[in-house]
Amino acid sequence: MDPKRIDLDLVLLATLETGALYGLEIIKEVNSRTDGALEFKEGSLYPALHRLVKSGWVETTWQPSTSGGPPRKYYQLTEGGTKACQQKKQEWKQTRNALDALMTRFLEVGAC
Amino acid sequence: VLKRRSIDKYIQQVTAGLPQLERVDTAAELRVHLLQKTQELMAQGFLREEAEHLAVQEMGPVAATNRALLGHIFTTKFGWRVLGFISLTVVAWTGWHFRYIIFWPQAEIQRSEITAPELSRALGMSNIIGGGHLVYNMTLPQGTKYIHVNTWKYSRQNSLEIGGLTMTAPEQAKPEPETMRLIVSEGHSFEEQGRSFYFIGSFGTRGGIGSTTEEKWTLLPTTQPRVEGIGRKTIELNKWLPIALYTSFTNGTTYPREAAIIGILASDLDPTDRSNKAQTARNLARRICLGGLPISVNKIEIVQAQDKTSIPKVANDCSPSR
Repeated sequence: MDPKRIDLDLVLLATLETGALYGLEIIKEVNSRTDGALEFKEGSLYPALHRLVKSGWVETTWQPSTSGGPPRKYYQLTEGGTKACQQKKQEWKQTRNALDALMTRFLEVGAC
Repeated sequence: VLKRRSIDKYIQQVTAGLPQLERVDTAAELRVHLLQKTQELMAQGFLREEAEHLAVQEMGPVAATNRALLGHIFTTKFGWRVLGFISLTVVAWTGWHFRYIIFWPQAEIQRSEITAPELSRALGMSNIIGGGHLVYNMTLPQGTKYIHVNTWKYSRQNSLEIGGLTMTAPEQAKPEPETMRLIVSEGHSFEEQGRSFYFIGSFGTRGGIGSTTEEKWTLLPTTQPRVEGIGRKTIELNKWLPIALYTSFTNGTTYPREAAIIGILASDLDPTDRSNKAQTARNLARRICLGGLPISVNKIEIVQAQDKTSIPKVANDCSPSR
């Protein structure tokens, strides 16, 4: 599924709810939690993360690597980011419920 | 070396255009990402070169990521140059198009001299002789739509008379300053049906002296005519400005037999509008009353209303003083 068709901000905010992650970890976490259903080019991750930082929803820190190698830039939610995540989740639930109701009716009448 | 180049090249291109600090920070983050990805791919059995190549490939298109990081579409030097060129062109065109709105020259009238041959060429007349022809170069105020040139003629026998002409200002057709010329010439230079007269002509100076003659004017039967004019004055929109005085004397007398004051008005009011016309007439009459007819024995001068010291006593009925 193309994440452009969903709310990429929601995907990233929800992923970071688990704690601070760096770029490649975020991608792996998304793949893991969606069983690979959400695929996006790795390069597109960073502009989205930078946008969230500019919005004040996410903050960054450079931390030493726990597995050796160079330091990594970790992203974690701010208080505002947590609130934004909750709000986006609520919006998503309402959209999903509305679509579920619509799809159920279509499926019942065999329109699709 | 080849592989390192692919990562370096990617990082360089994808961070192009970012502010320096942000570029360094993003480049470091991307390098860590690509190196870890390379390590993981190598662990899967790829050679380093292959792993680096694949790591870069998985990042996706460079231009799209660069645009997303920048937040705009001008991702290349060429793009910025095109933007700069377009911006400069727009600024230059706007500046040039509105140059006279931004830098409008001083609106003024300035007297200069013109020789009889020049005047002959300008007006296409062969019988112009002598000197004393006055030429006024006018730079009109911004917004001028019409130029009124009037005379207020006076004689001992006659009351004040008003006559004049209205010309459409060049600005109406071309929104830029235009220098026009008015010519006031001594009567003795012309002969027509045995009578001397003075003459006012006007023509643009864009094509040099003399292209079209706008007006030929009043006859004043007289001898010893004399014309005196102002030197240099600022022209204000919708305010009359006396520019010259014509007098004629009978032989052996010191009082002028006839006199006419010549004034101009640069206006943005439509002269065909009755209210504007009435207003123009009131302004004109008020001006001449305030100024009086500035004639004194052996002294001819042109005054304006604000020149209190030069204004002779003003008669209530605007009749001239002697």
